[in-house]
Amino acid sequence: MFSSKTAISHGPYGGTAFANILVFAPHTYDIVRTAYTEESCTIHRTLSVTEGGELMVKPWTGFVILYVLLLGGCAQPPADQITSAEQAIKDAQQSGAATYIADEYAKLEGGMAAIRKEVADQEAKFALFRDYGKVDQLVATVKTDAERVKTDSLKKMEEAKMAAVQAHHAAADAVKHAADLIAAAPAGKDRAALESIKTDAEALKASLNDVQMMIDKSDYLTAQTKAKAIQEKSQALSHEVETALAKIGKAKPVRTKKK
Amino acid sequence: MTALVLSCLLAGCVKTVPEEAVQAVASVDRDLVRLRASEIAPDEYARFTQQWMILKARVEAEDDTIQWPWEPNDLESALRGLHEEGLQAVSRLAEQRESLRRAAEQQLLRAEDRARALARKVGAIDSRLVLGRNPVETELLLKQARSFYQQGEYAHSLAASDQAAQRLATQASLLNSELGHYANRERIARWQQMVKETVDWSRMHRTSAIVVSKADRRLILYRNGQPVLSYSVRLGFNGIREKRYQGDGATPEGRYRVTTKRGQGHTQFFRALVLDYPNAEDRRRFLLDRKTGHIPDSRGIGGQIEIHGTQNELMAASLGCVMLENPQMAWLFNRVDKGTPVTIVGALDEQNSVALVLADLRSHANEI
Repeated sequence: MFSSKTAISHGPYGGTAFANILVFAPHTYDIVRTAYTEESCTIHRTLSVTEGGELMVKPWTGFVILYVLLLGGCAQPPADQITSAEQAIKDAQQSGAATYIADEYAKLEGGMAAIRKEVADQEAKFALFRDYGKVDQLVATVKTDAERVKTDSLKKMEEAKMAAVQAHHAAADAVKHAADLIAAAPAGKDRAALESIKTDAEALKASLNDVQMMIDKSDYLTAQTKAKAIQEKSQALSHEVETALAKIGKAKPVRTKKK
Repeated sequence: MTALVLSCLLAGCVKTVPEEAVQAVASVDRDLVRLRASEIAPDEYARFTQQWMILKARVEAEDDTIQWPWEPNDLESALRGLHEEGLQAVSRLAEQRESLRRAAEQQLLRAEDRARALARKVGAIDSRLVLGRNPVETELLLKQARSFYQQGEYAHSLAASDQAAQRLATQASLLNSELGHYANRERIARWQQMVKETVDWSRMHRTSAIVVSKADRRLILYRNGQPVLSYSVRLGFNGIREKRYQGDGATPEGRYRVTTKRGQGHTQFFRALVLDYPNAEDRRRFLLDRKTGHIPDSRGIGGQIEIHGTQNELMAASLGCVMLENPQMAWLFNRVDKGTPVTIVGALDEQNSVALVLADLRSHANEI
């Protein structure tokens, strides 16, 4: 169309305007060029051709250019993207990331802080010089990381849940085995010891319910640890009864008397 | 010439951020993760991480940027500053974690010691059943605390140990509640009066009388008001408690008499002296307890309380009776008649075994 630089450099207004835009705000220069092209009809009407074939800028063209520059130069922060990143972090939190991979989750929040800081830094600049390109990059990184953290967290949570459920089943088997042995124990055995063992077995059975409640509340670490403790104690009880049974052989049960 | 000058200038240029500064901060971050900073000091770790992420973003943005050596480099300064802060945080958290580990270890050892000591004392006075499920629940908590400690979960270990300590305190309180009458002066005075009256009766009637002390697990035969023999006995499986209803395993306290003598072949327990439990006082107390809801309606008052021998060597406790070794039972059986008074009391003096255990538990209550 024409050599913009040559035309403007010789025009009465903004002789160095385009040159400045190219150097200091190349992004804006592209917008202006696009706006310029789109407004070619308007701009064209603002121009006139001299006798020497050079284009001249009409007096009020400067205001038009300034208007276009301001419109094009006022970049906006990617609010939707930022909201999307916040949601991704929230999803990660709800997947249990703060519990299962707390350090990775902390880094996500750190990334969000970096985004907010970058937005604040850009907002502090003159409108024409704002550039949210880095914000876009940061948002993209945070969203990708949040997705990864959410996946990892869900995986770890599932692993913890499986471990707790397996421990619960093992504990339940051990409690049942102990209860079966106690039921078969002869009454002629030390009555106080037998009553004590029965009381312990009942306590272990009640504790199994506690483990289930912990699993239901997603407290898998405590559930697993408690289940293992129940299993150990149940095995110890079983061993005690088995030892007594082995010692006495098949003793007859004592006839129960009114006491 | 221009090219030469340009080359010299470019050769002097440096990257905005030296790689080692970045790696140093990354290393500190790994140390903080290893120390579980996000759990122990979440706010501090959050501040560090936020700053690290901000600087990291700047580093990535200026990765291809070069500058003159004489130009001030605020990014590198910020990284080095963060590295310094991080090192201090690492040092602080390492100390904090070690302190937490020591606290968890001490609390766990203390709770385990107290649990063992309590179990010994409870065993010494045969009052295990008084505590119900508490000992098992305490043991489970201690096992959990130990497991958490071994996994490096010191905060969880401390919490479990604390809960165990509370359970131990509950057990001590329960023992005091159920067996506190063994340390009650008025009660002991009443028991002493009952024994005195029994001994006086024996003297007055020039005949036998039996006194049983539950706390001492001792049976004393008096003849003409003089003690002639003293045997160690076993009680009901819950013998140390006051008898309330049938099947509770407790040995009753009160004044009774021998109503029947069952010789060999007439009892499964070698020989037996049947007592007249329940007496009027027992019935009165039973009805009151039932009225006040302390006894379920389905439970009866019980009966068939005896002094007897053992069926076999396995019988360490009866269902509520007073049990002797067979040779001793034989000796006693031949020196006691129908109508012989039998007075069963909790204790003979204030310094009885149960009272001493309760006093010991009270004195160590703060340690728990």
